[in-house]
Amino acid sequence: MSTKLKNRPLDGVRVLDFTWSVAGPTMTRYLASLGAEIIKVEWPMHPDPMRSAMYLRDESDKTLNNGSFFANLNIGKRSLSLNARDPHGLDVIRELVAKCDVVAESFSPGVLEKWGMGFEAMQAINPGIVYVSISGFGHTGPHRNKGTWGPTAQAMGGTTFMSGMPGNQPAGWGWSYLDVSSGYFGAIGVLSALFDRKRTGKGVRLDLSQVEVGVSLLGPGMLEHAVTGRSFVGQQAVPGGNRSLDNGGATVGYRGDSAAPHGVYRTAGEGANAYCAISVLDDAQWQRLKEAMGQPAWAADAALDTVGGRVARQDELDAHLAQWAATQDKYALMQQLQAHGVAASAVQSPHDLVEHDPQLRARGLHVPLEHPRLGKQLFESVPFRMEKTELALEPHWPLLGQDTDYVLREVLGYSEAQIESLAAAHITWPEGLPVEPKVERSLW
Amino acid sequence: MVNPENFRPLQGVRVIEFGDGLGSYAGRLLADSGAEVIKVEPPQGAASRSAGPFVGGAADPEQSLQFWHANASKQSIALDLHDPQDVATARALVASADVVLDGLAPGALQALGLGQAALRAAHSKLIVCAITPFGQDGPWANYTSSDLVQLAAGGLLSVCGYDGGDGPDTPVAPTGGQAAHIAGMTAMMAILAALIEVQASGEGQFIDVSAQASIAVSLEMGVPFWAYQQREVIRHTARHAMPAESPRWQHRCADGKYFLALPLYIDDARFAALVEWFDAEGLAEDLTDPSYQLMSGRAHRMGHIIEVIGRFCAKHDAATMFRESQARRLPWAPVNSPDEILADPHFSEARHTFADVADPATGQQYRFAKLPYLIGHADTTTMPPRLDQHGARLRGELQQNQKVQHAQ
Repeated sequence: MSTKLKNRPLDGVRVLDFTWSVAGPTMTRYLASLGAEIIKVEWPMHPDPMRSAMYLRDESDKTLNNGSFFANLNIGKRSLSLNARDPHGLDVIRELVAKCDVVAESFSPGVLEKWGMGFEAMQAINPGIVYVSISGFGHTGPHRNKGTWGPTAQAMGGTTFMSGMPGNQPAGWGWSYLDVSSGYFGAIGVLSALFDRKRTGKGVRLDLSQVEVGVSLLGPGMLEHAVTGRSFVGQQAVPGGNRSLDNGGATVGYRGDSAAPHGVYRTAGEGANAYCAISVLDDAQWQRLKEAMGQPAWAADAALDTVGGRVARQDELDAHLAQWAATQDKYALMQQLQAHGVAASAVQSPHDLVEHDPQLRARGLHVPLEHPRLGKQLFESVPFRMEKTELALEPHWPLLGQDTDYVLREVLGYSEAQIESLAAAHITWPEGLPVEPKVERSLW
Repeated sequence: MVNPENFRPLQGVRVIEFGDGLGSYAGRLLADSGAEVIKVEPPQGAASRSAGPFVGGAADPEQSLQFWHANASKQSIALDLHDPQDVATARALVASADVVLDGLAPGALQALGLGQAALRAAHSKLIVCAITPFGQDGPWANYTSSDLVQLAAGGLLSVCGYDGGDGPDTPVAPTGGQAAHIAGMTAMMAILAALIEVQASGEGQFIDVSAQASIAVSLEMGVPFWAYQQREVIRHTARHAMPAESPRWQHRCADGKYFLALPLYIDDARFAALVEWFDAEGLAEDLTDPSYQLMSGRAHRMGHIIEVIGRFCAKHDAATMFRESQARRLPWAPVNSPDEILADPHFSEARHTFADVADPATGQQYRFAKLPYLIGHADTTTMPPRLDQHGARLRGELQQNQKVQHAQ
């Protein structure tokens, strides 16, 4: 490692990482941030598709090593290039299982079993092994061989349905929430298992399904159906938009609050994100909102002083608030409302997060680091701080096959002759493939 | 079940939870993982107990499903933290614990005489994790917040909504309390990491979780598109916000249900299977033309191909579309509501995605979604606590401890 960070909880933990795309690599990125050594295994003929997903603007020389999205997602990991479909390659994998604490994969169900590397087989090699898989539907059950990507898992598991404006189709999510959150739950599972193992000595099998992650994150709406039988069928979407309660006072937001007015209001300024979100969480905030607005006549009605009164007249209040907000800058409005103790925030775009947000800047969330192929770029840091544990991102990336030698020599103790014989048989690098394989077309 | 034996990784870990809202979901994760999580509530009960919907319909602090979701498997003690005696009880509880979960505003616990530095000075193994809207410091640290406000500040709202014409052009916030979910997941990672670190060092630490930062790093491509390409993404219905307009993926089926037909990764073999399927029903239109067979011939005509898919969906019900598309290895799925998820035997029977939790007081059973990493293992969820349900037992336990200490 290029730097030695202090007190990292997973120092000494090694992960054999067969995951690809976004969910699995999100999981192992967090494990890397917490100190684990991640050995990302790929065969360059079938590399992780995210290597060629997104490049720097105007990149003319696209390779498998300079994808910028990939670099952000896989920072801090090592790369082992190996043909696991070759019997000798599989021998290497088997030896690595003995030297690792965690095996992670996001293949279709049954791939490891086909390799003769099911959980029982791995336990026979290493009784303490933690085996985590992340797949669409899980490795059991009638849907197990069906495929999903983030947006399909979101459709299947209900999170798409539970987002939308009244009378319109479901709005869904603007990214693969379930890739990211499955990665988080995978990391939580692995951390739990590693904590448990210190006491029991036993490993565990974790079989995560992206769709089930969605079901679990549906939250109170799913629980309402399961417990009370309330049916959602026949509605095009939860008819709530950004509201907490509908005009009749029924819960539509499942946001843990009973706020009104509650919404997103267009502000002055250009673009799709000139909006401010405002939540009037209780009657005291309503009084303070009136102060902030300079006690307009339309808000003076005492019937509006209780949440019930405001909920019933949300449409009217929203129209007035929209008119008031329309002439103000979104950040100025946010500050003014916050100065009065009213919950409000500018709707921030990714551009705003990086360039305009003083809070994230103060927290140092986006860190400039020097990537060997991309130069100095911003990388997304860890969203929490630990007083004792250094969580700085380690500035190294899994350039394809870069750590093959390290893994064979240092982790497995192979001799020079063994390493050369694997190379000569093209088990550690495909015959004739250049060191920096070119990419014709990127995904985005 | 994959592993019929218990997996209760946090058994023996005690957590004291202060506050409601943002911190509660992290507490639920800890509790379902086997930790003993004691929620300290004000004498009138946690605020979220008053949020509907309610079991039985009528407002009842013991029947709030929003409270149930975030607080199942926990214990409850009612303490008035403005009363010195109750603060002493809280301090004694913390002395018996491994973790303090602080969901109050920055500095609030300190003002009550329960600041993390003092708690940890008295108890060196203690981990204190504070979950706040914006983190402990910085210009917005003391701003007040809500789920919607968090989603706006963290960038999530800006990427969620409709294509032009599909609905209003405003950002649309997903429901369900996702700010607490996202912050809860990142906090859980940090707490577990600290628990592992304590196993080695014997010393706890303070963890400062920002919900805003947690959301801001959870948006997948949004920030990379700006950081690496200086391009702003635009909202798209039910698929990735992208820097350019793109064809729809969500189509309406003959039965009125929506269906997500993901058009990425349709390789030549899958495309051939799709055309054969559509053609067998006379609905392939011009896709049978050989010029579509290779990816190179399709890439620039995806807009048209997706329109044909949309017209095909309109003539079939969603269940048929799901079965037949997946049989051709197309990763497509219906836009399900909670009803359809619970009715699907893959979840309700084969995977045991839901746990039936009995209320010991009434014998009633309630069905909770299990945490994803506990599926395949024995159920761990228990009923959410009634207000102060465990207060008497915990007070008795603390008195017993005191007596033992005096005797020593």
